[in-house]
Order: sequence, then C-alpha cells, then structure tokens
Amino acid sequence: MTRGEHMDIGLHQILMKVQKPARYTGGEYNQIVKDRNTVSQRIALCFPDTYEIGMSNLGMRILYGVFNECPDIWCERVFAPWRDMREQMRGRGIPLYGLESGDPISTFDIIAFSIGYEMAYTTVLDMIDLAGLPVKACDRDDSMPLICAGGTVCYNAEPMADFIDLFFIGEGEKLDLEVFRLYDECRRKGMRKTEFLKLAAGIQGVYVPSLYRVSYDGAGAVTAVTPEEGAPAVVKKRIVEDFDRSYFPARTIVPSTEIVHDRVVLELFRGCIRGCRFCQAGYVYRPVRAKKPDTLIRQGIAALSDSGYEEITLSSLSTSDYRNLFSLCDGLLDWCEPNHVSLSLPSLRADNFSVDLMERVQKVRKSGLTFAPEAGTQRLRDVINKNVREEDLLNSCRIAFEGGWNTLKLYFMLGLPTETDEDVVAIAELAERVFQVWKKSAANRNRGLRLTVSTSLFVPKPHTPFQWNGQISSEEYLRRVALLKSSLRSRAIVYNWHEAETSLVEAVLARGDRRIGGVIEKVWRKSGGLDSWSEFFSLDNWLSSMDEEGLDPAFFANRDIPEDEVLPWSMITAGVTADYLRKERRTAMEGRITPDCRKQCTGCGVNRCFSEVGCDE
Amino acid sequence: MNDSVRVQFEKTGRARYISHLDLQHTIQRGFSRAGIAIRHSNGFNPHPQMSIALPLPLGCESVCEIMDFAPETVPDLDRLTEEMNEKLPEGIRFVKAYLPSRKVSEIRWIRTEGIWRYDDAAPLEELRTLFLRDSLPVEKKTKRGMAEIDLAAAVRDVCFTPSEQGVHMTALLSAQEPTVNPDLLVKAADRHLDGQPVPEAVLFRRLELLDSEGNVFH
Repeated sequence: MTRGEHMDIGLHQILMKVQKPARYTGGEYNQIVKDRNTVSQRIALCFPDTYEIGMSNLGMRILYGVFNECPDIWCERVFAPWRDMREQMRGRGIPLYGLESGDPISTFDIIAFSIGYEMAYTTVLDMIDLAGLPVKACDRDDSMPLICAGGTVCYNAEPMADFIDLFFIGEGEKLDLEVFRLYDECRRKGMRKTEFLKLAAGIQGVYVPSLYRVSYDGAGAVTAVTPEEGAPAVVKKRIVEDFDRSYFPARTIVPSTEIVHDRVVLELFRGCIRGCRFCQAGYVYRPVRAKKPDTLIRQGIAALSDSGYEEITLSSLSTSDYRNLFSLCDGLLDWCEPNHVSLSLPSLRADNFSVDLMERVQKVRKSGLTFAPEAGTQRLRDVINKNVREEDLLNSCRIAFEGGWNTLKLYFMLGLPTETDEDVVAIAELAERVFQVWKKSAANRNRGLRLTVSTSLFVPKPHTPFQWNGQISSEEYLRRVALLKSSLRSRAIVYNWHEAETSLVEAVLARGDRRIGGVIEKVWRKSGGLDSWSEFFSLDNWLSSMDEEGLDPAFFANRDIPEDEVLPWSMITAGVTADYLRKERRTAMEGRITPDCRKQCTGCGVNRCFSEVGCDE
Repeated sequence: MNDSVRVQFEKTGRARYISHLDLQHTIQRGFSRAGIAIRHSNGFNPHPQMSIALPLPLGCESVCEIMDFAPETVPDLDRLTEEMNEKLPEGIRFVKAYLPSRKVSEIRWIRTEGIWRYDDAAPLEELRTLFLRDSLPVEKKTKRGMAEIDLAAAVRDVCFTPSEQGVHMTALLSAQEPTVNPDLLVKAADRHLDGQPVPEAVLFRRLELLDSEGNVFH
C-alpha cells in the first residue's frame, strides 16, 4: 500500500464508525472532478438533508450539470451528515467538505443552498456551522465564501434573511451563473462583498435581504419594506424561457449506494394549468412551459443508456395534463420494454386516468395508485379549485380496479378554508363509495383491497390565494381527525393522519417574517438540525424558542391576515398579481371555480410579466 | 453457472465503502451502460445471474476480487475490461476477464496486508509474538450469533514491520470455513495483549487469492 493512494486514514477511521459510509465519500459514476488549480471558481452546491434525499432531487442534478458545464467553475455536492457522522466530524474537527474533492467548503468561493422545504432551515444553519463559518451573514467577513440560497421556499426568504447573503428567486439555470460571473468579476477587481451585493441586486431574480429595511407596528405586523442602496422595490422571479431547449442532465451521477428516488426523472413541463388555490408550486411556477415529446424521448433514452438505470419516471406538477402523454409513453416504451426498463407515472389526476394510460403504466410494473381529491365534498373542492368531480374519481377507481389494481391511496387535507364537519364526514363517505366500487368491479376480489385514506393539515403558503387564511389550531385539527376516524366504518380502509406539530411549525416558517430567524437559530442550537426528520423534530424546541424570542406561533400560523396588511414577502413577485390572488380568494369564498388555463386565460398577470414566453394554453 | 465468464477486479480508494449489495447493483448498472446483457433467473422476481465471490468487508480494499457472471452472448473478453472500466465508478476496475476453469470453493487463503495506525508507539514485538501462539481464541459473528474460533489455525505467515503510521502487516487469512475478516486480528490483539495500546485506525487490502497448495487462484 503506497502512501497517497488511499484516502486520509483519519477520515477512514470515522467512516468505519458510521452507518452507510458510501454517502460521505463521493466517487460515483459521472461525478465531475476538475483540477482545483485551473478553475477560477469553486462552488459548494448544498442540499440541507441527507445524501439519499438530496441525490433524489432533480433540481440538484440540473444545477450541478449547468454549473459544471462552465470550464472555469468546479461545482461539488454537499449534503447534511446524519447524526452519527456529524458527531464524529465535530468530535475530530473535520469540517464539512465537498464530496468530489474532500476539500473543506469554507475554502470555496461560493456556497449555494437548494432549499425545498421550510423544515430544512435548521439544517442549513448546521451545515454553515459544520463548515466552520459563522451562521449569521453579518458575522462573515470578506475572506469567507458568499452564501446564497434558492428553491421554492425562497419566495418568502424572510425567515432565513439573517443567514443568507443573497437569494435566487425563481429558476436557477441562467440566473445563478449570472450572479457567479458577477461575483468573480467583483473579486478580481478587489471589491468588497457589500459592493458586490449592491450590484447583484440589480440582476432580475436576485434578492439581497440586507438591502431591505422592515418596519413593524406595535402588534408585530409588518408596516413597510423599504429598499435601500438602489435595490429594487419588487424582485421579479426568473424563469427558463425556452424549456424545450433548457439543460437536461443526460449524464447524471449514479450513486453507488441506494437513494430514495434511484431512477431517471423526466420533467415533462414546468408550471401547472390547474390553479388549485392552496398550491404554491401551481402559482409560482407559472407560466406552463412544456418540452416536446421528441425532446423528452431522446433525453429519456440518453439518460437511461448512460446511467444504466432500470426505471424512468415522468414528473411534473400534474403529469396527466401533458398534451402528448400517450405518444410520449409509447415512444419511451418502444425502448424501455426490450431493455427491461420500467416506466412510472406519479402525480396523476383522478379525473383523467384512462384505460390507455393504465395499460401503458402497467406494461412493465404495476405499483400502487394515489389519487388526491383533497376534500370530501364538491362544495369544498370548488372552494379550493380542485376540479375533480366525484363521478370522475369513482370512474378512475373502477378502471383501476378492473385493471387489477388493489392498492389505492386517497389523499385529503383537513382545515381547508371554510371546511365544516359535513366536509370532514364526507371524506369517509367518499372512501366508502370507493370501497363499494371495488366490490363491484374488482378483477380479483380474493386479493382484497388495500385502501388508505391520508390527511394532512392545510398550511397556508405565500403567493397563493389562501396566503391570508390562518391555519386551524392543532386542537381543532385533532378534533376533525377524530371525527373522520369515527366516521370511517369499513375495516378495509386504513386511516393515516399527518402530525399536527410539524404542520404548525411549517405554517409559522411559511408565513414568517425576519424575526423568525432568531427562532430558527435557537432551535438549531437545541436540535442540531435535521428537524425535517421526526427523530429530531421536537415541538417543544420550537415553542420554547418562540417564547424566548417573544413571538407567538398563532400570530404567524393561525391568524387571518387582513388583505390590506403588508405581507413579509411583498418585495418578491412570481408574476401573479396581488389583485388576482385577492380576486381568486373572493371567488373561493363564494364557492366558485376558476377554469384552467387551457379553457381560458383568467388574467393572473404572469403573461404580462413574462410577455416573451407564451403560456401553454 | 454454465457458460459463465470470470472477472478479476479491484475495489480501491473510496469505492471500498460501497457495501457488497450496493456493489452488485453498481456493477450490474455498469454492464447495462456497456450494453452487455446478463442472463436473468426464471421466476417471479428475475435477478441477474452474477455472483461476487468472498464478500469483501466494508472499508477493506482489494486488488484480487473475483466475480462470475452469465452473459446472454459471450462478449469479446479482451475488450470487456476496457469497455467496462469506462462505465464503472472510481475505484472499481476490471483487471481481466476469462473463462473459468476452477471452482471458487478451491480458494483457501487470502493474502492480505494492512496498516495499523497507532498514536503512540506501536507494540511491534508483542504483535509479532502474539501471532506465533498455538491457540488464539476470538469471538466471530456468525449467522447464528457469536461463536468462538481459534485464529491460530485460520491465519498464517503473519508478519509485522514498522511503518511511518505504526505497523505494516501481511498475513494469509483463511478464505472460507472459516472466513476470517481481517478485523479479527485487531480483535485478537485487543483481547490478548493486556495493557498495550490499541490501533487508532486500521486499513486492510486483499492482495492475492491462493489455493490449498499456496498457488495463486484464477
């Protein structure tokens, strides 16, 4: 064994003491290794969760590829270590490192976080700390890396405003590189970080929180958000205009250890035509932009051949709304079937599931089906604009049962605006009718039906028509859970409900202002991060930290915000106008639906904001 | 496996942390990428006919791993290693591919080397004499729980030399019945050398497979 041939024996020592060490080593097929001496910028692309979760994220794979296509940039991946590894690293003073090089990320130029969900905030802080850097942006000097963040949660960046130098609002494929180039230029000129941030704020899609002053009234409500140093009053998101020609990771990393979604993911389109009023993604990813079926077939086959993966999944907010779904499936199956590759289709709508589609999915493997009616009565489904009719749902179920499916999951939310006990009980009645449909139409009744009803607690999200609506209290949620439980009589139906505690914290973080930063820091010091994992989440940590910061969870989570109040995220726009959101909210309260974008344009404003990109009408 | 092809391959560097199960999957995907179809077993859950002999302990390197697989059509064996090495992750490298003439059950010894790193002075002399003993009982994990085996009969030619990091070890370890994980040598030292320092870290590497005559196994 010659020296230098193997990894550092100190790291070896700790890797032998932790579970699944392969997630901390890098070295996978298609990882990108460059010469650290010839690149001009080193970027740590960080995902604030475990390797298995982060490597399953399509956004990470896209950005990794986009950044590394630049010859002068070397982007490496960084994930949150599990508790055992974290203790070992802290105990032996091993700082957080990039998987490709093993170099400490505190020596990189830029640290970029991709944040997909609010519960990852404490993990972001822990990763900054593990890197050996101060968690607060104001405590980091010019010798330290620039820390930026993007991802859907950044449409309300305020809770993380204290910790992040710069936020990317919208899709990062072009925006991020523009910012990186500017940073490189500014550094070459010897400019201060503060000078760079002022310049960066001029790029569309960049939000620099330190350039905005927030004022509050005595009750704690935001009264004004004032831009300073020439920062724009409103930051408009960035999007990929020509999605068909946008970057696709055909040569993607294939982990050498099992991850959550271990397959090729084909993104059919961005955005959603539907306009469900609770859905943040449906509003912030507008306008709908689709790839051509030929492009998708070509990219799917290229990624499968290159990776050796045995499965490909079609992914989008509402996959069955893709116009050419059948020809796409057929084109892929022509290649997949002879090559023993299976095709899966998540996120199907319950109203247009067809025999044709079913046959295509089951050609290679038959997995469980999930439909999301979201609410039990037509009235409430109209309120939330989930335009699934009961007869459509039952018809879809019948087709599936006749086709031999015997595992079905129905997903609902409790606590939606205007929900009554009648709506709650109706969930049980709907599930019972699905059971009756199975009895009549099952291809093989001897195999039995596995019908699961799941409920979660509605979380109001920024930039949706329900952003002003308060969440119901945890006690009220549990009362409704009990009501539903007692209404479900059939023993064939299993009922799972999501815990109220995390949904409450999610609501606080989703609608939080800057003052929540202090809470996040306190919770991180108590929990050590990974609050997205039930093992490490503790409601007590959050409640006690809010108490110490003098903040009331109900103010953020449960309060109905007056429509004329300044929202903490009002300096950011996804292109949908505030007037449209108010109008949609009124329409909801009247129990009326809004047609989908293909039936008619309902004037959300995004087409005027991005006039160069046509909506997929 | 009839009509099977045997491959000798290396697993070094960071690939040493890939578990046995994950390694099978990783190599399968390598075959897919290279367009080499593997025969599948019949039955409800067909699995590819591929088997890696003598599973390597996690964290241990090797330059002498052996794998047999059943291709749909026998590929060009001279080009197979080159083609596969372009399709495998860092640290996994095919050395040669050939049609096997001997059974894996004929493998008797594995020549193994290791670095034992000590923070303080390494107990070199004590280690040397320890492995000369006639009997060296250690606990070994088996499918039925813990069992005691005599390492003296299952380990040969143990040699310790001083090295920069501590000591350098070479030994022949019994390959099967019993299979000796090199960590058992560390356990033996820990158990039988009272009051001596224990290594901070150990790093092992398989070098060679031998049959009962001491000849290199292919």
